[in-house]
Amino acid sequence: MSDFDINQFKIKLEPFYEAQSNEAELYTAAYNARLPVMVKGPTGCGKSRFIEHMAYKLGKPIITVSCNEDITASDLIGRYLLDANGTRWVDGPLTLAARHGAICYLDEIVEARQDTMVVIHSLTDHRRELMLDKKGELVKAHPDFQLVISYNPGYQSLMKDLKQSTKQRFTGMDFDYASAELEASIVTTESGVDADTAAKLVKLAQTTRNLVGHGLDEGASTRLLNYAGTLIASGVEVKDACHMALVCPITDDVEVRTTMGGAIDAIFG
Amino acid sequence: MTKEILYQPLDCSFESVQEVFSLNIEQATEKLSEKSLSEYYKGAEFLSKIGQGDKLSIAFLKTMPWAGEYFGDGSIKKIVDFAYNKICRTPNKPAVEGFLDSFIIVVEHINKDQLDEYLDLIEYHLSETTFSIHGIHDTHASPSLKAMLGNMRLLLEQLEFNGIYEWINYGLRYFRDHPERQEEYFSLSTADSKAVFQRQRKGLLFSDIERPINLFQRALWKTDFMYAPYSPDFEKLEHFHPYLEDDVIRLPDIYEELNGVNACRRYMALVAHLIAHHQFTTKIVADNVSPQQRFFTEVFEDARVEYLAIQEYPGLKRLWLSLIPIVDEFDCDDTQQSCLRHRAIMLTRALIDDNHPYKNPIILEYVEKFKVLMAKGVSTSSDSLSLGLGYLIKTRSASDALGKIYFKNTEVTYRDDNRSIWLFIEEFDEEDNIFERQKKSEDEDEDQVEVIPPHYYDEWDYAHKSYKPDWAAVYERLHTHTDASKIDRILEKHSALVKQLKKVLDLLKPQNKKRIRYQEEGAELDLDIALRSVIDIKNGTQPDTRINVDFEHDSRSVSVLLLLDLSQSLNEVVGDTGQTILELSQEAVSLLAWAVEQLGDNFAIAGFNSDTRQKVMYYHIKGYSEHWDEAVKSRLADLKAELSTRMGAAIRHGAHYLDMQQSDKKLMLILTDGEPADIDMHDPKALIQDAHKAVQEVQQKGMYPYCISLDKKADEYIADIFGNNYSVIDRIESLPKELPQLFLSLTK
Repeated sequence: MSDFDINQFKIKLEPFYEAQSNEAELYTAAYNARLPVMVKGPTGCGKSRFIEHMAYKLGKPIITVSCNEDITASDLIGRYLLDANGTRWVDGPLTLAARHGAICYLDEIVEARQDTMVVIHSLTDHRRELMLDKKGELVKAHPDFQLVISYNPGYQSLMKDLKQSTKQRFTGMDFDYASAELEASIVTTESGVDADTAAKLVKLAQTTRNLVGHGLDEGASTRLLNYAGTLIASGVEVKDACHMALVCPITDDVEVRTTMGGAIDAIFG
Repeated sequence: MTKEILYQPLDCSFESVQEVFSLNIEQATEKLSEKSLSEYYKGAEFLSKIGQGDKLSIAFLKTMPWAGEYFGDGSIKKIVDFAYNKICRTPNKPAVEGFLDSFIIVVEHINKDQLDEYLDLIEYHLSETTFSIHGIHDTHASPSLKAMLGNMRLLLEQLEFNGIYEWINYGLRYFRDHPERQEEYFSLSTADSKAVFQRQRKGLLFSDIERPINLFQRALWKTDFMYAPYSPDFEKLEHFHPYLEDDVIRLPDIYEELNGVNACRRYMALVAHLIAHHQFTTKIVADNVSPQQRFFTEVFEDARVEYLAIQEYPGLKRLWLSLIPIVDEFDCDDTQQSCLRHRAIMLTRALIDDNHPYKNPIILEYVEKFKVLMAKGVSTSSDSLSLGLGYLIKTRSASDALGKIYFKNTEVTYRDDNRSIWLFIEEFDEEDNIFERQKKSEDEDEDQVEVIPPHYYDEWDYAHKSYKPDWAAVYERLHTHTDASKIDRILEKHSALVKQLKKVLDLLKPQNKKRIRYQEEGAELDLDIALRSVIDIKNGTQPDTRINVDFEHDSRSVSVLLLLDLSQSLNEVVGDTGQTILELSQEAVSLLAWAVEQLGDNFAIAGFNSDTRQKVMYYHIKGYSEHWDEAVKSRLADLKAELSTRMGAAIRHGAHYLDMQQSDKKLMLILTDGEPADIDMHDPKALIQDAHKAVQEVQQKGMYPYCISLDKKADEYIADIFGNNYSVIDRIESLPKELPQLFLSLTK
């Protein structure tokens, strides 16, 4: 275990992130106090990008776990594996982060089952320790360790919510799509389209966001805008690019598509 | 030269005909070739001598100059021959006048080479609707030709020829033997006739596109206006414009493609324009502004709001431009006619189109002024007023007041009537509110009881494998009520049964547990998986650690509609019990309702009967959100049995409400004592097949229909309707016991 290099989880190149307000300061303050953080916001608005960006700024390694329904406590903390000589303990991502001092980022945490998530409780309060009951070891968290979770309240259903006891261990940060100008400048930087096209793409995204709850579960994300921008910058016809990146992925509803066709025409002419 | 020498006299002794002749001959000479003119003379003389009085010649003289000019030489003769041979020599003589009159409309709506097609159409209708009674040498006139000719404008304007044939054939199929109904159908006054007509119409119905349009306004402007489509054809409102008032958008119910813009885009253009007004227009007091001043102010205001909307959505410009007509700048002669609209439409185009073709200096000047204003960035509706006033002063002409107005191609179809601009401090009658008028007249027409308008449902015609649109009218009512204690007494009477049911219910209540496999932690070991894992370990491969099973409570999410047949036959007494089927049903339903209330399922009860397709009654006895309380009991206590069983319509209507319920399972129980029948249907299979179709529709929507039949002979037909989903209860006496149990076993 001693040959494990946590530095492989460090981010080498600075991820582009355009601050919307003082979120970087808020996050830094939380990190300095090693407070657990939860980031909320719609799909593709820059949550994960922000966390990576901050990990880079702070110079800390980051271990990301994408949660899903089948994830179990052992998938997070580790398990014994069989090998030629019997069994061997392998740390899970959470244990790794706690042991070696990384930021552990649990993405889309509501996807995991509620009872799985209670394993993080002891790491996220004053104890900052993790009991590996199968191994019989108590891991004291490294001073650099911090836990970050993200989730998307948009498609939160009755079934999928965090327990209060989990929620109340975190500080929270709300994310939303950037303001129109900012989002346009993000699209320009990320995809290389001109400012005018970027502004129109953002306008189109806003029309989809107006339809949330009326045939769409979520509007087009900044990520999709970047895709559309990238396609346009590489020479794809504007309307085709919009259809490919902004209409086709978000809906199969013929009528919503008709509407989106009208909106594309209204915006791009 | 006097006039008499200009044309030959007409050989006819009716003075009235001569009078009409002298009024029309000048026009006829002008329009018709020599050959056609001689046909015109011959035709008029002929028609006055066939013993039908003067009417035919008069109608002929009035309309034929147009028909002859339009269809060319030989056409007048063809029409006369047709009128005589095909109409006059049959019992349909009275229709000839209407036939001749129809040409005034026909020439406007069909192509020059379609005269034969039109005549074929009339002949087809005549031959199919004129009938003779066998054995009597007497034939009867077509009951509907006159009615159809009266609607010819609508038919030709809205339908293609094959559409008209479809519409005629439909009428023939169902009303051939029913003269009064046939006449009603062909006069386009019944719901089904209109529905068939609508189906054949050219263009796109708004109702087919409502949702995308709705999403369009929400997506672009976050607005949520409702719609009230009006029908320009049926309501004779050809020049009625859309408008937005009280958060409701009034718009035509159908659009065709125009200038290459499809109907959907046209609706988008309309909605975008209305919302632009809503966003940017502030009202101007109209009392001191003349109609002409208002007219030009509106042109500027329309352009102003559109300009502002285009700033946000530039693509709207191209859409709107493709719908604004371009006219020839010098087409309108202002010594002969009023050029008001001509000037306005040029200005309209020029204000929005940067590449407009017009050279008129005043237009150019005002376009420049408008652009300067808009470039400033701040503008209001009163700016439009001053531009409008100024423009009118500069261009005013004496001919503006002429009655003859240049109208061709000067209408912008997507624009509203601009009522949103004006504020009338004094009362005017100018606003044309058809909707209130309509409402008023409906209120007056209908009698007090039938205030809720009926729902129309299609009915399946198995013989033709097609739906009869809007065929059955279903009226909803709350069932009448009486003393509720009757139901309590029923429950007391069956107290033994109630106790028994209670036991079953208690068993059902702690509802099923659902097993979740593949759990790392769980209540029990899942042996299959555990063994597999052991084998994996022995093999030296990675075992699956998820070897447990866990349990989860499975909540019960059921909605139930109990549909009771309340037809006359329920009044029969059953065996030696002394009770009628209705009373037994009442007992059974009471027990069932009580049981379901214990379970807490979403449950509704409704009854139905029918008196022809025009009157299918649907009674609400218990609503989904109502509890089993006094009000419901009192309605159930008052059940009455009368009339017939039009089951299909009732199933469709019940499904309409059941479908809205939010549950995983939706069950529709139909309690009936006989086969579907109604007094206006002679074919016993027709309503059975319709009910079967209704059942299929309901199943397709994800509901589960189940029939409980009390008819001992039900085996003959019930499977044709419900497939396997039915039970026949032979001993009706046991119904109170069996119904709740059946329900419980169905929903277990």
